Amino acid sequence: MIWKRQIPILIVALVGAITLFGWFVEEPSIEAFVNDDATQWYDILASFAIILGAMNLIKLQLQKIARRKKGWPYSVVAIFGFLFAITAGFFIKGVDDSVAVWGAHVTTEGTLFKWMFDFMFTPLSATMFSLLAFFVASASYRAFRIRNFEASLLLVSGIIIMVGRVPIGSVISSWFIMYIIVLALGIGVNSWKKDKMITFGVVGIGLAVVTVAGIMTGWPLDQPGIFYLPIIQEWIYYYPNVAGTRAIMIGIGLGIFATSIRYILGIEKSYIGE
Amino acid sequence: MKDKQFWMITGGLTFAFLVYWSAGHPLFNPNRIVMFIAIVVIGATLLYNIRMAERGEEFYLRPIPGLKAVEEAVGRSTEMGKPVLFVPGIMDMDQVETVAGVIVLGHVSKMTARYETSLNVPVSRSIVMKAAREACRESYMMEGRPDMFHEDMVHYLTDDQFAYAAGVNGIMVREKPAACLYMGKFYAESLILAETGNSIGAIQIAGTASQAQIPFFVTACDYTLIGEEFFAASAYLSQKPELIGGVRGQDMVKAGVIATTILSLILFIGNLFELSSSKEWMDLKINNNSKSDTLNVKQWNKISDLMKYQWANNTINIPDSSILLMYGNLEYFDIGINRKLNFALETGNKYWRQLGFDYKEKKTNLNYALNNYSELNNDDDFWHNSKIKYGKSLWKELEIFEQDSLLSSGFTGFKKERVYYTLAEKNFVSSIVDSNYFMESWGSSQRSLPSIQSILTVQ
Amino acid sequence: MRTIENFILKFGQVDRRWIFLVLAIVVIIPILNPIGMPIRPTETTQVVYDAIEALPENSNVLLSVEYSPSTKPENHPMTISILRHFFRNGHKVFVTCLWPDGQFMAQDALKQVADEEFGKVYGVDYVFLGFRPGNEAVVKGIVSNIRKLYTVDVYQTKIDEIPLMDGITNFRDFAFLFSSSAGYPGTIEWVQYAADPTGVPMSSGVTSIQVNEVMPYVQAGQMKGVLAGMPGAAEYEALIGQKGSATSGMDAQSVAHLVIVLFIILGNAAYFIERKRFRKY
Repeated sequence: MIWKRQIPILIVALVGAITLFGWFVEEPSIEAFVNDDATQWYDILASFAIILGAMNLIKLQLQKIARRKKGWPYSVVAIFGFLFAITAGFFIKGVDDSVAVWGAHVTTEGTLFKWMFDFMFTPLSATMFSLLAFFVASASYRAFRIRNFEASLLLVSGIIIMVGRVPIGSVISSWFIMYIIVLALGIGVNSWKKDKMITFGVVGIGLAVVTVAGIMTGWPLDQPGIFYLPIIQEWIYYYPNVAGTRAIMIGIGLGIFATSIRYILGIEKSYIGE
Repeated sequence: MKDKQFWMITGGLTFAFLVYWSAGHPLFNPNRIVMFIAIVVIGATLLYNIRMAERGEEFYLRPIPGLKAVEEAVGRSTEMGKPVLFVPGIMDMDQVETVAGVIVLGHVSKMTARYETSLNVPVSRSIVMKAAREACRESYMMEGRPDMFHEDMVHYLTDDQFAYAAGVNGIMVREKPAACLYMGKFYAESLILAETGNSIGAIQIAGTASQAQIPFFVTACDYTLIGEEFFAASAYLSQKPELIGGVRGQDMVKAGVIATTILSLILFIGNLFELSSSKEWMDLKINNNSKSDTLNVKQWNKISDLMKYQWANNTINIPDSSILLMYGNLEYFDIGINRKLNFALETGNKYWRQLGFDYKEKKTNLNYALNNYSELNNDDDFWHNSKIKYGKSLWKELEIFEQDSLLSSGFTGFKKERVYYTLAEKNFVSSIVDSNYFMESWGSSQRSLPSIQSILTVQ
Repeated sequence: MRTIENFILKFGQVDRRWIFLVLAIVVIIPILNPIGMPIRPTETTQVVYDAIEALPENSNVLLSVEYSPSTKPENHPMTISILRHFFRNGHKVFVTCLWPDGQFMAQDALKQVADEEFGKVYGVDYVFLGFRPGNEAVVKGIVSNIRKLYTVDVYQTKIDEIPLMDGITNFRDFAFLFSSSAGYPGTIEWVQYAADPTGVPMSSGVTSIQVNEVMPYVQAGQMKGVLAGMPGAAEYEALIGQKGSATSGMDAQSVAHLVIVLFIILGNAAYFIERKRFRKY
């Protein structure tokens, strides 16, 4: 019992305390442990632990094939892929030692591993990542609705960033944006007053003011800057966005600290199942 | 103040540390004292609140809809006869978010054991697989349903990010779980998972501290635990007093951070940072003077305070991009000779950003140069040599034939020290600026004292 | 009017696969027939450019490549442009990778730029150190002693036998760091463990999603600007005067964004009409 409870907690507390307080100690061996050894020990453990994961994967896929469960042909593909990658990495180089030694063969042109990376792994990874483009479209289409003030703010800032960030945003004149604002103002006034005369009056005056100002200034594309999309999106990026990000970062940092302290002090024991 | 034992121990440890500090703090890195104090204060705050909670003090925690919805989600799965899918992120157990995810998995597996719902936990790392299995096994045992637990409910897919996303998507589309829980560290695959879960009509609850992914989860999932809420999940789900006390401690620390931020804002608005800049200068002067023990003392004393300051900050070696932008737009020949000199002197000092430009001009020796190096105003040769000496970005302003002649005279390395050697041997550089240049490169070259002495005697 | 309302309502309930199809078409068309929209460099990109321009000639610069083929369209053009800029200004480039996939990406970039475009000599003008496992331990190792971490380069040649590695012992021997990063480990680890403690200036190119996370470091001056996603890569290509895949991708991205905005507007219109009818009946 002591092996499953007290010893793991003691190991966590000891290693955690040394790693945390070791950063303040000016002693070469402790500094070496904190800076290099601690993380490298973990990586060595994780590298060997991969064998467990791989064995589990193979076991489940073989079971699926043996029991002819639904979708079992895909398990055949999975096992084939696994064996092919191991073969390309450890057994068949595809070139002489004069072209590439073992180790360098993973990046050398002409080797089986490089071929597998270029023509199998790269297209598959790129395809999965490109799904994001479509999913972003469908997610924003579904989620960006003007339900309340916060949702409207999200929608407007999202549109400004999306359009302002790309080259097409820099060719949209700030005067065009001003016209849109006047029209949006008209919609707002109409919802509030519900009087056509007032609405037309507001919209008419707004359009006239913008048109006269544009004629007088010669319709510069990026002036006034406050209505130029790239400038607005930069402002949104640098100020409200960073402020919110910093606040969340501080909260997350505190959360990580509190959670880690709980582990080091042995208060949180869920990692051993308690 | 209620916890006397805590305060006594805190007082004792503080006293011991003060004694240790006044005894010369052996083995302690003094540059990190502020961080050390911050860690101790935050840790003490957390511990105090944990102890208060353990003693029976009741703390209010605001309800978090996402956590309340976890049990509803499991119940929904039970009613529909479909499994619960739990994704503990794609990173390993060295990430705190993954450990927090495994903690939540422990609570979720208790619910699935209680309601006899099947649980599917595909993982991306082998160590996470083992830890998650232990958490699930223990939960099922505690609920008295060890028969329902089987090891394959937690199974490994792959380490690769998008291959894992593809695998989980496949599980979702084939098994059509009624509830999908994403609790851990995620990257770009978050939206792929969430959208697929949405397409199969599952209730989705996400919890992550990955800031970039929070917006995607908020958009695509029914409930999202943002940042700290995710770390507080274990306290909410278990209702253990020590965990709730920890959450309260976090909030107290956050209140302190907010107060400090507001105070700093007031000080900044009140221009009180100008004074702190000046104090910084004085501290640097003191520091540099104390470092002179390791340098050629005689040469150090020849250098002005300003040059010492320049040297000290050049070891940090961060060019100020706003200064570069300011000068970068001007044509080289449009800049007056003083500004050319100052441009070279100005770069390499990260504290300039805090100073107003007028103050920068004063500090960067604009007037100082005029007052002390009157010959610079008209001395073309000197300016030519300064271009070579202050090399860096001004090297490119030299004519090609000038560069060629230097190259052909044996100067091939383009390393600062070799340039200096070659130019010093050929008397290209004058004595006034030698020491400045050398001290400037001193910090990054870390040359030995005898070699410095030998160079400095070249003049 | 009713017909239009009905059409918009129908649009609001469209199967998302139609949205995918429209998006695919509007992305493919500008790639096949480029429009050539003007690229306007933003301040953050300009700061990166200026920081590299201000480096003394023949500086030792470190380029760290940590992205995989999935983010290649965003990160690879940045890496290529930065390499071009480094080699054009005569700097000596040292390449490391914190991701295993990054090694392949770096290999491709060096082959294209160093070998084919500039004819640079390996070991004299650039060194490819390769990938080492360990995440932030690698960063810390480079800061403390790079020769202990890298005893051989990616081609298994001993470091001591490479002329360019003379005098390089740790991170402080570099004048600049550029990290082309897509996640963890990456930009943030370089800032936290290398650039900020040592004072060596650094810049980074990140995916668009990551820009939020690194912007506080840019604002605090710990990083000299940032190349934000494919737009940032296209802006950098414009600054160095050599267009690449990012510039050609911007047309497609611009049109795709406009189409998404259009969908959102139509979706909201459908939402309002539905709400109006719901209230009415």
